[in-house]
Amino acid sequence: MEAVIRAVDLTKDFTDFWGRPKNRALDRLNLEVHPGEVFGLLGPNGSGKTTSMKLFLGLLYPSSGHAFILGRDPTDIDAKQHIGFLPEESYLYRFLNAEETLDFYGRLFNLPRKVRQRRTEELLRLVGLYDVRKRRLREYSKGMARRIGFAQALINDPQLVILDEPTSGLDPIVSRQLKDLIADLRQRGKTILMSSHLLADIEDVCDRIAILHLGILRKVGTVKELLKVAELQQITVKNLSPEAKAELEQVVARAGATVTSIENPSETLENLFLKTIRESQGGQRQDLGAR
Amino acid sequence: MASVKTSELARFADDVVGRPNFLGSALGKIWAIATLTFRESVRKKVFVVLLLFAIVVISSSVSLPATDARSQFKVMESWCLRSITFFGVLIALFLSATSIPDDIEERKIFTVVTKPVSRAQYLLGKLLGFSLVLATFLVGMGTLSVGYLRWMDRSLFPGGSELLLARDVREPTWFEVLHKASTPGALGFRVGEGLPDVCWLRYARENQARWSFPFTDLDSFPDDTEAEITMAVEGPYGSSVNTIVVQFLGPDPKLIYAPEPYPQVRYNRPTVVSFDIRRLMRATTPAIDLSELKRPSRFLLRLKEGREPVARFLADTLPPEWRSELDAYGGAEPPPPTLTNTVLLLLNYALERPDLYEPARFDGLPLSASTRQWIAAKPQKEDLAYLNRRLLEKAFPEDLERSRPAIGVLDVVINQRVPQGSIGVSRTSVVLREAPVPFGFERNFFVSLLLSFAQFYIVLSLTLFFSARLSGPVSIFLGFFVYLTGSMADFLRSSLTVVQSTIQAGGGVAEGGHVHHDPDDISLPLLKVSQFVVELVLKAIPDLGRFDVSEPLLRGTLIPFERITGELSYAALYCTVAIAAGWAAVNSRELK
Repeated sequence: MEAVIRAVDLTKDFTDFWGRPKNRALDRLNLEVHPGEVFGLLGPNGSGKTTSMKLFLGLLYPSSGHAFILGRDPTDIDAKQHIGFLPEESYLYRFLNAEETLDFYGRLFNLPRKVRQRRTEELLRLVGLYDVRKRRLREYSKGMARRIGFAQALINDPQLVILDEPTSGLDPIVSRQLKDLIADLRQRGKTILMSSHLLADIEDVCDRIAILHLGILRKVGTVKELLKVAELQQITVKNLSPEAKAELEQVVARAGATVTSIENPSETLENLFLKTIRESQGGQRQDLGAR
Repeated sequence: MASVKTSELARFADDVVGRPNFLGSALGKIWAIATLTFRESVRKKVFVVLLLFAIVVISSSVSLPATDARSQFKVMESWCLRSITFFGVLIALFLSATSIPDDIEERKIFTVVTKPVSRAQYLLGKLLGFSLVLATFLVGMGTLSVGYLRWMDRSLFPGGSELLLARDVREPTWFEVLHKASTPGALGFRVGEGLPDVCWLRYARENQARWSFPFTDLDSFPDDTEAEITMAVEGPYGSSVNTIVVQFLGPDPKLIYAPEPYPQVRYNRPTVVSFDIRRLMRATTPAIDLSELKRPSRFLLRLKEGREPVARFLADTLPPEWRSELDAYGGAEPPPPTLTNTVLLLLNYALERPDLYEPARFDGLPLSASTRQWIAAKPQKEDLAYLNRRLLEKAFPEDLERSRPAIGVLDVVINQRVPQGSIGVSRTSVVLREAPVPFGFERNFFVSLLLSFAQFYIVLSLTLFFSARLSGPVSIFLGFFVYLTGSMADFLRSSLTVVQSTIQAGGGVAEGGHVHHDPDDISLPLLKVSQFVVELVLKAIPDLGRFDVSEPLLRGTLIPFERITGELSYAALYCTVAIAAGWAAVNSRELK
C-alpha cells in the first residue's frame, strides 16, 4: 500500500534576510506514514515537528529532498481536497461565529449549501460547540478556539488529518475527548499525523511514533516497542507493612538486584482528574460543557 | 465532544469533495474569500474611523473661504472630490497593507491555503474583497456628496444655479493673435503647435485674438450653445483670472456670467473686452448632383403628387412638355434618364431663385434659429444658393443628401480695449459648450469616482504586492510613498527638465573650443545622480496625476469618453503587472 506521507531526505534550512543559512530545522528526514495509522511526531519544542508538517502541507518549501502527500507534491492543491489541518495556535477569523466559520471553510471546498449546513451542525455537535454556535470567535476561550479549529480541519471529511499540538492548552477532559475522537477517526480508516511534546498524548493514541530532536529523526517505531524498558520490572502489591517491605528488599538484594524505589503507585493525574469530574457530573453530560 | 461519534457523521461522496478544480469552482472559492475579506475590512476600526473622518472633512467644506457664492461652491465641489480620493487611497492602503501580514501573523492563512485553494485564488479573493469595500465606499460617499452639493446648490442659490451641469465641449482648431497693423493671420498660431502658453493682448499692439471652431452643420450648434472665455486681466483695477460665459447663438449674444470685480466686461461694447462672434457656413458647392438624390423615383412621385407646398412650387415651374412627362411617370424603377435629368435641372435652377423662401411655404418645417437669421439677412447670389440648398434639404430631408463637408467656421474674437491694461489669453481660453446633458453632473462625478477607483486600485495592488513580503507598517509606508510620488509625477517631470538644463548650462564655460569645468564644483555629479534617481523613480512609479479629472468637473464639461477608456486601460495594465508581481511574491513566500 502506498504511503500517505513520504519524506525522502527532507531537509529544511532557515535562512536570514540575506539568504544565508541560519539553522537547520530538519535534517534528511526519511519517513513513511501508512494509510489508516495514527502517527505521532514527538519531540521537545524546536525539534522540527511543525517544520516537517509544514513541508508536508506545502507551507514551506524544502531546501533539499522531497515530500509527498497522498502520492502528490505538497503544493498540488488537488491533494488538499482530502487533507484536514489543525495548525498550532490558530485564531481563525475572530469576527465570525462558529457556524459562519465552518460555513466559510466549507465554501473553500465548494461544498453545496445543504451539505455545508448539515456538516456544520454535525461538527459543532461533535466538538460540543453547538450551543454557542452564534457566539463570535473572539469571545471563545482557548479550549473552544482549539475545538473550532479541530472542527474546521474535519469539514471535508478528510482521509488524512494533520494535527499540530492538538492537545496543547486544553484541560484534561477536552484533551481526553479529543484523543477519543482521534481513535474514532482511526476506526473509520482515516490516517492521522499528530505532533506533541506530551508523552501521554502520544502514548494513548498513536500506533507508531517518531522522535525528533534538533531536526534529526532519532527513533521510529510502535509505542510499545519504544516504551518497553527491558531491565526494569514493576511490582504492585496491596497493604504492604514496613516489615514486609524490609523483607522484600532483602529478597531482592539476595537475588543480586537493587530496589530503585518503593512507593504507592499512582494513577496518572489525568486519569484521576477525569474520574473525579465524571463522578461529579453523575454521568449526565458527556460533551465538553461549553455554554 | 462525545455526544456525536464521527462514525455518525455523514460521509461525503467523492462527487462532493474531490471534484476537479475547474473555473467555476475556482470562482466559488475566490468569492468565499472575497466576502470574508469584505466583512473583515468593514469591521476594522481604521475603516470606520476613516469613514467618519471623511464625512466630517467633506461637510467642513461649508466653512472654506471664498470671495463669492459661485467660487465657494466650486471650492466645495473640488474639496468633496479630493477628500473622497484621499480617504479612499488611505483606506486602500490600510486594508491592503495589513490584511496579508495579519493573516500570516495570526496564522489564519494556514487554514486557508491548506484547503484546496491556490495562492493565486487567495490573492484574487483578497483583491476582490477590497474592491467591494472601495466600491461601497465610493458609491456611498459619492451619493452623499452629490446629494450634499445639490442641497448646498439650492440653499446658496435660491432658484437654482447653473453650476451642477455638464456639457460637451468643443475646443478651437485655430487660435491667432492679430497685430493691429499687420495683415490678419500674420501672427496666427494653429492650435497644437508650439506657442506661448499665455499671449498678452496689449492696447494698441497685438490687440485682437481669434479662436476658430470649424463645423459641418449649423444645426450642430444649438441656440443655447455657450462660449466660455477664461482670461487674465491686468488693468487699472488690479489683476485676476476671470471666466466669462456668453450665450451667443440666439438672436443676440447674451452675457450669462461675469465675475463681480469686472462688471465692465461687456460684449460688443468697447469697455474692456468685446466679443465679435461671426458665423460662416460654406458647403464646397451648393450644386446638387445625381448622387445626392437618394431615391429619384420617390422624389419624382412626390413632385408629381405635389402635396407639400415646396414640391408644388417646384413642379409648377416645369415647362408644360416636361410636366406632362412627369405626370405620365408611374413609379417605374429606375426612372427614365431624361426625367431624372429634368429634376436635377429643376433643383439646381431653384437654388438661384430668390423667391424660394416664403413663410407660408416653409410653415411647419423645422428651421433652426440660425437658418431664420440667415433668411432675414437676405443673402444674394452665391450666398443665396447656399441658403436655398439648405432650405431644400429642410423640405426634403428624406430625399436630398445634406451638403457635403462644409467649411463652416465660428469665430470668437476678443478685442483689447483697456488703455492701461493687458489681457492674457491662450489657445484653450475659449471653448464652446453645448446644451447641458441631463444628469451630466452626476455622470461626471461618478466618472471621476470611477477614475479614482482605478487610482486606488493601482495603489492597492502595489501595496498588496509589498505586503506579500513585508510587514504591515512597512507596506503602508511604501504604498503611501508610491501614492505621493505618483501624484507628483508631473512635478517631478518638470523638475527634471530644470535639472537637465542646469546640467547643460553648468557644464562649464566653453573656452577656445574646450569646455572648462570648475574642479571645485561638486554639484554637477550630484545633479547627475539626482537626475538618474528621479528618472528611475518616474519609470517605476505610476502616474497618478492623469486620474485627476477635477478640471472638467469644475468647468462643467463632460469628461471625454476617450479619456475614461485611456486612463482605465492604463490602470488595468499597471494593476495586472502589480498583481502578477504580487502573485509571484505570495507564491514564493514560505509561511513560517
